[in-house]
Amino acid sequence: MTKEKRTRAQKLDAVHEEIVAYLDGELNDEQTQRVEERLSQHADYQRRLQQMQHAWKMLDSLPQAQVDESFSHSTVEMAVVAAEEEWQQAQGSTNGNARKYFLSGVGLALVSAAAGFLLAFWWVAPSNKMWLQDLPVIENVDLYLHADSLDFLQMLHDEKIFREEGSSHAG
Amino acid sequence: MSVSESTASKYEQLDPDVRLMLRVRDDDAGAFEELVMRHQSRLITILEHLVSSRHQAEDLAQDVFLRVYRARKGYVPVAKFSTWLYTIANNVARNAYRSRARRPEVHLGSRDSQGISQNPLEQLATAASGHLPTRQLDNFEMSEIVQLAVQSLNDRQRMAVLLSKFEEMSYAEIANIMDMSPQAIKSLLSRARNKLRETLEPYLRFGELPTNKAE
Repeated sequence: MTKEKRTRAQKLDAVHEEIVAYLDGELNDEQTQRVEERLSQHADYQRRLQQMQHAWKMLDSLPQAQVDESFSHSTVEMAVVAAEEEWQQAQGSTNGNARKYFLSGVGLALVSAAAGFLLAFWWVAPSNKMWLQDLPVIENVDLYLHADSLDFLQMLHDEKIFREEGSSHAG
Repeated sequence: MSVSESTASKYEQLDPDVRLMLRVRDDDAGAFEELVMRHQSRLITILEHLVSSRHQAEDLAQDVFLRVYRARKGYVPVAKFSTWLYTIANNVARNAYRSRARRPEVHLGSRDSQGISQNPLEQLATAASGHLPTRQLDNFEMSEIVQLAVQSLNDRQRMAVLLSKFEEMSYAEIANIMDMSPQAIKSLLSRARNKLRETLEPYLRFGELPTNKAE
């Protein structure tokens, strides 16, 4: 396309744009007045506008859909199904959350129990060890009370006189 | 997106469909049915001209209404209801074009005497180039010719023309729906209407303009 032809085509496009916008009521007052002046001065401009107008009017002959009530009924039914699905999804989400909270609670309880056990083990174990160490004395406390003297008992221990007997008692 | 209360209030007062939609938001099933009944015919008409199939147009229209219903809880009136409805319809139609492009249809119908190489538009062009019957066209023939002329437009031109013609929407509204600027819509509609003029010109001269039943 030569430059001259291209310029002419662009001018024609601008004319068509102006005519269509005029017919569609999309021009401001000043632009409308300009179009109406051209219409009174140029027969070709007027002919083009009429052709555009007639072609547009021909679109009135396009078939228009006639839709009966069954369409709206089936559409509403589909919407009801969609609403039920939404509700079920919401319920599923709620149940899922409840299950999640329950499992989290159980997990937390188990961890707390384990922590408690370890803590108790750390605190209680030294005193248990002491009781176990002193168990032979506890078992024979009545006999030791008869001796009435700690020095005497210490001497017997040092002499190892009743050691085997004591060990067997303690064991 | 934050919307001022005055904007929402303005559309609620101006547009009865917005008021219905606000009732739908509050789970009023009757309001939804009323909305469907108010828009179903025009929506199916536009979709039928877009996809050239009544059956598919009905399926797509139901899809559009269901999308409206599913989105009801978050609905905020930021425009006329029809602007929102046809924005969804435009999106649904575009998806339909895409899936149709991925699965091209194979027509197994009978071939006419002129053979498969000459499609209806070529026949229309032949008629326009001088083989036009001298008799006046009846309404059915005129309707067929106009349908073919509309089909000759590209998808975007067709959508803009149908919204302008059947919904009497402004350039700003169409621009909003098609996510384009009003100036781009002005150019799009100008090219589309000029193409229609060129295609229908022979019938403007020789054919009889159909009488408008609505008038």
